[in-house]
Amino acid sequence: MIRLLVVDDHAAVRAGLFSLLRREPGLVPLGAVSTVAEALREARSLEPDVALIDFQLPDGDGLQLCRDLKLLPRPPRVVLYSAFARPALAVAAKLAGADGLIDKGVEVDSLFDSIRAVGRGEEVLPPLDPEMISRCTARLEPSDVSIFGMLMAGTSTADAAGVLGSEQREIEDRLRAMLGDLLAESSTPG
Amino acid sequence: MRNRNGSGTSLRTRVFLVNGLVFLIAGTFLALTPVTVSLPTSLSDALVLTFGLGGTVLLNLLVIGRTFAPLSRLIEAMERFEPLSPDYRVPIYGNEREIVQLTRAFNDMLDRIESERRESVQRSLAAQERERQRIAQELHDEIGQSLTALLLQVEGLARSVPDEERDALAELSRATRDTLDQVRDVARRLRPEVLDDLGLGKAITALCERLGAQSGVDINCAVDAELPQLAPEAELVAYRVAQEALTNTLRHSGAEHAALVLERDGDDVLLTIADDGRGIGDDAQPGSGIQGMRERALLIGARLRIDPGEPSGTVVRLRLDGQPYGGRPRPHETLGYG
Repeated sequence: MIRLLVVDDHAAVRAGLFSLLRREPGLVPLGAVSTVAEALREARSLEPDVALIDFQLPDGDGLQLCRDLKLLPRPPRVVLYSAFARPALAVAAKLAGADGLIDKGVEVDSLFDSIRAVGRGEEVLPPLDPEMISRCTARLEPSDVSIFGMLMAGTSTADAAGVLGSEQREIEDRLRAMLGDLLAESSTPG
Repeated sequence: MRNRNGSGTSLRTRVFLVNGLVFLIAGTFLALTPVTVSLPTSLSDALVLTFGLGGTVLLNLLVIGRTFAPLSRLIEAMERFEPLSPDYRVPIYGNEREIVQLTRAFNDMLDRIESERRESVQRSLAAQERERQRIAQELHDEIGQSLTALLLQVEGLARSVPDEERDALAELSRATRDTLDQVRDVARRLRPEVLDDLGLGKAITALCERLGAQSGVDINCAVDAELPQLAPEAELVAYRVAQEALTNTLRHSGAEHAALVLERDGDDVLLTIADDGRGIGDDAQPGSGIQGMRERALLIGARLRIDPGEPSGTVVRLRLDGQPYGGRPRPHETLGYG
């Protein structure tokens, strides 16, 4: 049995997902909320196994929420369920420590399969193109590149802080800044 | 270049000197020859007057005409100016001060117009890109989200109805998914996010695949694996030119085959799009996509050529300057990714 928290600011998506999940054997939706603040409150009290979160939220984004959730005493596994089109979101999701990234256009059964896989402890992230990682790295502050490398290799922020001899808080701040840099718009002519 | 300061004789001085010279010759002629005019005027007097004055005026015309000849050449040169080759400047003819000053003033005005034009094209292209981005975002965030919600609800419904009604709902679900795909496709066309994240080569390959699948035209796409690094603006221009050229081919040319080559040529990147269609006739609308391609190319100093193909069709060529030195580092190579 996988206990789930749904976070999506679109009421009809939230309702649709909730009713679908309730019908699916083995999946138990505990609640459905629309903001980062509500999600954190519910995650603290309900302690879900998996949080299924949208990328765009009214008071933040799914990646920042993912970091917040991962710092809870009993962190849920996190699946980003997103219609966001940027390929670089895969890099950002990996960096943020998300366990899954699922496109909102996929078949419902495939969504359920992915949730179950993440519930079992697997990672459901799209493959990362080396060219894309290269382009993403070029968007970062040069001083962040080594932290980026460690985190992408799966090092926790606590361990990275230990290796670099800095505070975990500091590494978390750099990580959040990098998430913004990764998805920054490139320049248009002008 | 001689006389850049326009310090030569002024036109006024020349006309003055020429007139003076002609009157001097006429006067000398009158003084030294037995020609006289007396009252009452006789027929021979009238003839002498007519020929004398006529000769003087004609001589004047001839000499002044030569003086003003550089002005005519300057006018011709000015008329040759063409807005799409904005680097053209009028050469300085002659050394008359007014001509030199006029040429220089005209060239200065071209400089100002060109820089104004460049800025305004830049502003309007940037505004166009921003607007496309905004529309793409709204398509995604609003229509995309609503369609996702609809899809989830239809799927939920399909799971709760008896088997015999499920087929109709499956059909509805498929139609909704198709619409969602179309909306996303339009958003992708408006704002190629792939370009930012995966680079020009992969973005162009994906473009060819998508347009080929949609149109049924066979698009042969060849992209060099190692391309020189381009500035983001240049990548966007190349992508838009490829998009525009292929779209023209598919919509208007009636071509059966099209080919796109993106290759390295020394430090440059060369983009070639060719088809075997009707070709671009003289009836191509100004202000159409072709104009847009030219404007975009001009803006980043790239060279765009559109020629008829052999034996038919159209060939579009875009040459972009690579950044051979000082390009962005490729840190993944040092980090051990890929």
